Parts: sequence; C-alpha cells; structure tokens
Amino acid sequence: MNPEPETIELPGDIVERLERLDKSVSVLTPAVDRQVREAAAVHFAQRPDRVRSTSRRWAVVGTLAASLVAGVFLVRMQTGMEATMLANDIDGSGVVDILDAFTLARTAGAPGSQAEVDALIANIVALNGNPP
Amino acid sequence: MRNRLVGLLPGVAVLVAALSAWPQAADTDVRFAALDIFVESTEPLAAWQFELRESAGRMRVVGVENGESTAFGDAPYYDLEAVSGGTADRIIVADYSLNAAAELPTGRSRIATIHVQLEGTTAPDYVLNLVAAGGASGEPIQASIDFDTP
Repeated sequence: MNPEPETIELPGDIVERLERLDKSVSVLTPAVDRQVREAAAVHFAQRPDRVRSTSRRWAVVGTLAASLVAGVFLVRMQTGMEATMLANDIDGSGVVDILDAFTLARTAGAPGSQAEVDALIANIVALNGNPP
Repeated sequence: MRNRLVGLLPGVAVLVAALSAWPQAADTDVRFAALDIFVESTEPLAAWQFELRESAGRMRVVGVENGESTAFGDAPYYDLEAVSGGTADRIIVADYSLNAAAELPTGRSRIATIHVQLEGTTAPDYVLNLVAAGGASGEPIQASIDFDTP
C-alpha cells in the first residue's frame, strides 16, 4: 500500500521566485547567435590595449634602430676597407702590387717615405693578408 | 687432416684482416730543394712580384735568396715572419730597383732562389705565378717566369 504524497505549503514570495526561474528558455536562432557575437566584439574592442601596443611599438622602434646602426657600421667598415685599398692602388691599376710601391718609391722624396714604401710592400707580400 | 685445415681458415682470415688494418708507415720523408726563379723580358726589368706554392701543400719555404742582378737590393721583400716561423706553405716575393734602365736586367735573369723543405717522396707540383713586372718608368711590361732546380 503506497502512502499518500505529502503536500507542502510554501510562502507566496518563494513560489513566485520559483515560477520566474521556471520560465521556458528561448530557442537560440542563428540571428540571436550573431547578435551576441557582435555585442561581444564591440564590448572587447572598447577595452584599452595600451600595454600590449606600447611594448610592440617599442620593439619595432628598437629593431629599426638596431638595423640602422648595424647597416651604418657595415657600410663604414666596407667603405673603410675599400678606401684603404683605393689609397694603396697608387698607379690606379685596380690591384695593389709591387708596381704601386714602385710608383710610390719613384715619386717619394720626403724623409720617412722609404718607411711608407716598405710598409706598403710588407702588406703586399704578407701571406695572411693575401689569400691564395 | 682436411678438417684441421678447414678449421684453421677462420683464424687465417682474421689474421689477414688484422694485418691489412695495421697502420701503414707514415710518409714522413723530409728533404730540401732550391728553386732558381727566372724572369725573361725584352725590356729592362725594374720591378717584379711572383707567388710560389706547391699544389698539394707539401712545401715549406725555409729561405729566400737574392738574384743575380746587382740592380736589386741584398734581399727581396717577402713574409719573413712566416718563413722564420715555418708556416710558409707558399711565398709572395717582390722587389724593385730605382736604377737607370741601362743598369737593369734584360732578357732572362735569375731574380731569386727559394729554398724549400718538402714532405714525402712524391715529386712536388710547383705552381709559379708572375704577379707583376714593371719597367723603369713604372709601367707594366711583358715578361714570363719559370724556375729551375739545380
């Protein structure tokens, strides 16, 4: 024999709240989904992104500056080397060899010029400075 | 008897393999040679530069001697530090003279003698290159270079 179910009398305001929660849920159509997505995009776009964009800006500036410095350094190095070679190409032949030293010796007359000639020839015959 | 011989075969094979793998005696023969360097030109030779090397790097330059012409100095220019240090497996030699054209060598002239140390018993393959030759006025002149081993 089954016992009769017990009936509980709840206060009116609690019943009212429970009835509000028990409302049927709306069906999520694609239109509703799109509206929610657009609202979220608007909301997050308005958020300040100062920290991330600031550090990115500094990184770009820093990279550009470093590239500029490296480029200037390399150009000056290359220019320096070429300038040295051009300076030693006394006869303008395009190569630095004994004929440049010979021309220097033939035209030199000031004291200490023999030292310049000897120094130039030392560079010409140096094995380390002249790869095979 | 046959069984004994067959049984010895693996041992013989191992012995042959071991003897084959034994390191060969290193080719450490060292000898010395001198190369007379000649330049030939139809015009008076006032400046010259050459480079000498051995194609397999089996050469070390141990000394550089002056040539036969009195127009040039006591010793030509070369990398003295590399030669003294025993690291010169090639050599660049050059010299010039400010003497008048009449005092300069013409034709075939010995300009230098290079003393070298050679490794191994294989005949060296010298590579000699005339880099520059100039006349009394400093202009490039036509010339050829060769060497002789006395």
